[in-house]
Amino acid sequence: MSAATNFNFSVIVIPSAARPVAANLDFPTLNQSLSFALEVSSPSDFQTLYSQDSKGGNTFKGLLYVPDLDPSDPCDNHDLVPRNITRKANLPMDDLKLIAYAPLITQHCSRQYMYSAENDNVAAFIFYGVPAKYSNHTDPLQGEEYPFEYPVYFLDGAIGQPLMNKLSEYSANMSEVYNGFNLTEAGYDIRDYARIYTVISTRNTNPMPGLWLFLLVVVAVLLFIIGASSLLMHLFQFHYRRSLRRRIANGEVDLEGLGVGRITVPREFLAKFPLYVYIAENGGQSTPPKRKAQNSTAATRSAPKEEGRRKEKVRVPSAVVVKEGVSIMIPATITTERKSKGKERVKDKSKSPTAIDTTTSPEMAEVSTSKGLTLASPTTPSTKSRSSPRVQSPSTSSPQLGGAQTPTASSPPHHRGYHQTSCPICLDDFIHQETTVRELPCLHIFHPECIDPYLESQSSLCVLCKQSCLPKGYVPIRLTNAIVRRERLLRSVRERSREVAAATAANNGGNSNDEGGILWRWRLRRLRRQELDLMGRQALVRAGRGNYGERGRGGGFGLGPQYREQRVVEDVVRPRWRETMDRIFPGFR
Amino acid sequence: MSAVKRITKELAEFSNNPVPGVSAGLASEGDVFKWNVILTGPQGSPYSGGVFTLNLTLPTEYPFKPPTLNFTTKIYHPNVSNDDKGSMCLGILRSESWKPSCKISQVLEMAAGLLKEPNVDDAVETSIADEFKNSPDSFEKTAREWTRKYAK
Ligand SMILES: [Zn+2]
Ligand SMILES: [Zn+2]
Repeated sequence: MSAATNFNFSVIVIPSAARPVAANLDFPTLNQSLSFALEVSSPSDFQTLYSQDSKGGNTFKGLLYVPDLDPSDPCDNHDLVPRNITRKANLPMDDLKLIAYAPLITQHCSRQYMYSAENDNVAAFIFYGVPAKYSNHTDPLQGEEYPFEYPVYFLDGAIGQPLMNKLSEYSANMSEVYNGFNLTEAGYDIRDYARIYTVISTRNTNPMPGLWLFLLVVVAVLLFIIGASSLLMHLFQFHYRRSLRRRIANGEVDLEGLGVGRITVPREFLAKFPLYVYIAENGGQSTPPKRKAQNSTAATRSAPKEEGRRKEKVRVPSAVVVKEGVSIMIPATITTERKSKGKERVKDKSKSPTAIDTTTSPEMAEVSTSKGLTLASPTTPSTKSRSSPRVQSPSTSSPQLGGAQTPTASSPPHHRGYHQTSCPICLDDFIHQETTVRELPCLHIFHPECIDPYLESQSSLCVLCKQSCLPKGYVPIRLTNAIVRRERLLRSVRERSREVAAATAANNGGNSNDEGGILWRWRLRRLRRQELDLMGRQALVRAGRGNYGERGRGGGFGLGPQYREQRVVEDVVRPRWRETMDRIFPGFR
Repeated sequence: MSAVKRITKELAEFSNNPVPGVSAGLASEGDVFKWNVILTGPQGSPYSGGVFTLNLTLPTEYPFKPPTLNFTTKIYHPNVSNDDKGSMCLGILRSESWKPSCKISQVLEMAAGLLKEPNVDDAVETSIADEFKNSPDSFEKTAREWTRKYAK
């Protein structure tokens, strides 16, 4: 509904000869000092009773007049409406824009006036209040359905009645209107019409009225709450991610067990794992027979110090640089040491009794470290036709060929690793002094060609001991909120399973649960649901793999190693709204 | 390809050095990933006199992933799922505890061993495991019955 903001009454002059376009009452205003003008803009002076115009901002213009009533109609009260009032007949033309004006007497009279005005096709209707002795009602509509299209306004009686009287003064020709003599003296044609012209300005009363404003506020508050909680949750997630990162860095989190996709060993880490030639501890009794003759001497030599058939490998320090994954370069430190080998040979021998008489094996580059660990760079390339990887120490310039008495670089029983005699993957035996092996941080050894592709593409765990090959503190994955969630869930399940066990032990009925019981029960239910979810996924994985179907074993909170199984399952495809929700409220579940 | 090589090697090893009570061979020439296994019920067990056929399936990732064992003969056993799959539940066959160093012959040995001595702590059929623990007589009766019925 658009309310009036301003009523402007002025007197205009319509030339008798003019034939104006009805819509355009573009006539000069009568000299105001000689006539009349009235502006009503105080909101207490008027009311908008009815308006169909919802937009507002319109102006209604027209000549003010009082609609005709049936002469016998008692509503035609001449106490209020002077007999010489401006009627339709007093207007110069039929098709001028009109604004009806009438006293508000009774509902019946208002109706009569309004029907008459409707016939005259008015632009608006202005009622004005009359003293109580004539009427006491102010609403011409009285709550009834309003049948007309034009807007209806109400003017205060203190303004309305004088205006009515003024209207009666501008109903005749120029000479007879108020101040007519002076007007004609001032040059106005006596045949011209001076009439009261009315402009009603409106504005939209409800630009944002009550309801809309309220809704807007509600939406704003909601947005604020959403934004604030989103921010808060993001902060929490950030905090969780950071703490998870820290715990991963501290090695407190079993990443593989988290089941967050495939974790592999990057090539650069892999390249740092020691690669060296396998040396059997007993001098290679299990090596091909052609070497037996030479080896046996060494074996017998070292026999007193070694226990039985234990085998030993000699390590090249981890600083080795792997070139094309095959050859090993002995690091500079060792090289320099080796240079002094000749001089210290005797001393070395005396210090480490197991050091081999190098005179008998001149091609053997051997260095003794201060720790007593004998480092050997066995110079295997005795036969070029051999296809197995070679170790090569480029700094040893002495000729390596003719390695008849190759090996026997046995060391004091310095056992770092396990006694593996064969590759657990291909089951082939390692060949003494010949096979190049890869040693993982857990000290298990494999053929590099067997283990490397696996670590690079399948898993970061040693296939034997399931120990991670990744350095502590290395975070190989992007820590997403989903991972954080999963880790938290796993931890909480683990924790809660303990709680639950305790609660069951402490007689789960009782009053203890009623206290804050709803929360407790809710957490329990959530936990159970999450666990079911997890188990379901595992079952899915199992089924997909065609493994034995784990058919609801346990069903409790037993957290077995089966939780590792989820690794393969990435998050199931979720609907877009879930994604969006997750983005706005990370960690909400 | 390394899988094929290793399996071939194991097959040869197994034929040279068979596990008692177990006979095994490729289900079809040319596919080393599927083996047919026949277990004979060990003397003194409720399965004695029975002949149990199993399918041993090796994953293409073998030996990094464990093989699976499925009984095609119905058997009443705590470690064999009582469904159409007849999955054998062996600790070492779980992917998280599987070690590539474990050979097929060892798996088969373990399977044969389970017929002699079920492992109730690692049971897939908990009800059968409970029965085995609590009323061994009725367990033996049913197992014998099933052996007579299905494994002859
Ligand atoms: Zn290998
Ligand atoms: Zn290991």
